[in-house]
Amino acid sequence: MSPTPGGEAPSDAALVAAYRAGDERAAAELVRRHLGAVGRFLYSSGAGRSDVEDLVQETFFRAFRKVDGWRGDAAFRSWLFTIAGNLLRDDYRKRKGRQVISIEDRDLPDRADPEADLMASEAAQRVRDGLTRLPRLQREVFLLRSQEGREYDDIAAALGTTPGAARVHYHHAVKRLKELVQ
Amino acid sequence: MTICEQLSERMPAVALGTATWSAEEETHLAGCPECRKEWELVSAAADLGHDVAAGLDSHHVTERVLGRLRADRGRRGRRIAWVVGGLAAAAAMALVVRTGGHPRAPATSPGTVAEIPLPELDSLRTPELQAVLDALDAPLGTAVQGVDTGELEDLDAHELQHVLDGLEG
Repeated sequence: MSPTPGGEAPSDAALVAAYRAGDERAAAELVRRHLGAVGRFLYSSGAGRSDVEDLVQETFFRAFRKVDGWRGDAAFRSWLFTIAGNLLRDDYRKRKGRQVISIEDRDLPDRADPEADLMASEAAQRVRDGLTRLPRLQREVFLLRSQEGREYDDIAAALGTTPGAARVHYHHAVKRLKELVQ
Repeated sequence: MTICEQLSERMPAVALGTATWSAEEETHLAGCPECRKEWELVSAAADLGHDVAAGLDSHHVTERVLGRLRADRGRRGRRIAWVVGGLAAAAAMALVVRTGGHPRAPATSPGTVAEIPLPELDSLRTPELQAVLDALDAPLGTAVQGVDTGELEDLDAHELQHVLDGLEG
């Protein structure tokens, strides 16, 4: 996948189209672009440090396998986050066996490597602990805003809600995190 | 929109470095405990997981993802081939069952006569053969020439058996 005639990097949409046409280099470029953000999202959502790479791979595998499911109404990265969120939920259910969990996926366990986590700052760790205790939609809206700076329109398109509801989820997340992170 | 709401809206952009606080906003942030608490949360979340992301190997992830996608395409191709093969076998079985296992007689082209071996007809003379052919061509229920089936309706079972024995010789 070569740059555009103007020398700009190709858009995500152009890369996805190239991948659909059989260009594997386009897929490689999409992975390079979004790998870090997906990894941060998974870690911030409660994935263990040692599990992040496997979960990132699975996220991209699922994304490329069902790439026709991305219609371009949300940013490609936001769409990847929803796949990663679903994956984390599935992974959590698998680990919990067949036990039924709340529809809001509350209280995802913190499966981080304790030794590695000691290196993280105490404040960051408290925020991460708090995030794992938020309902899924609140957590994902908050992370899409705080880590990606996404607007509510894009968040709503990615998560299948309305911009107004996304804004409400964000403010509830902030309120709840203030209580959890004392 | 209050100044607290305004700050809340702008916090992600400032935390990610795409915007900066104005002097008025900085003054408010310094004096508002709720906004300060929110700012600490948002800026901490914006920094979360950078070390984890830095440890990910893009090339390794790409190779594994593409390898799995190729394998998946191969598996799906084989699955489709199995399904198509299975459907073809099922269709062939259905055809055999429907035709009772006997192949159809080859179609004859116009102008040719199909040869059907019937040794019973060999002993008949020409007028008898003609009578049989007329009976085949005649509508159902028409009597064979020379046999008045109307008379048979008056016979009882014993008499009918006697007639049949006589016909069979």
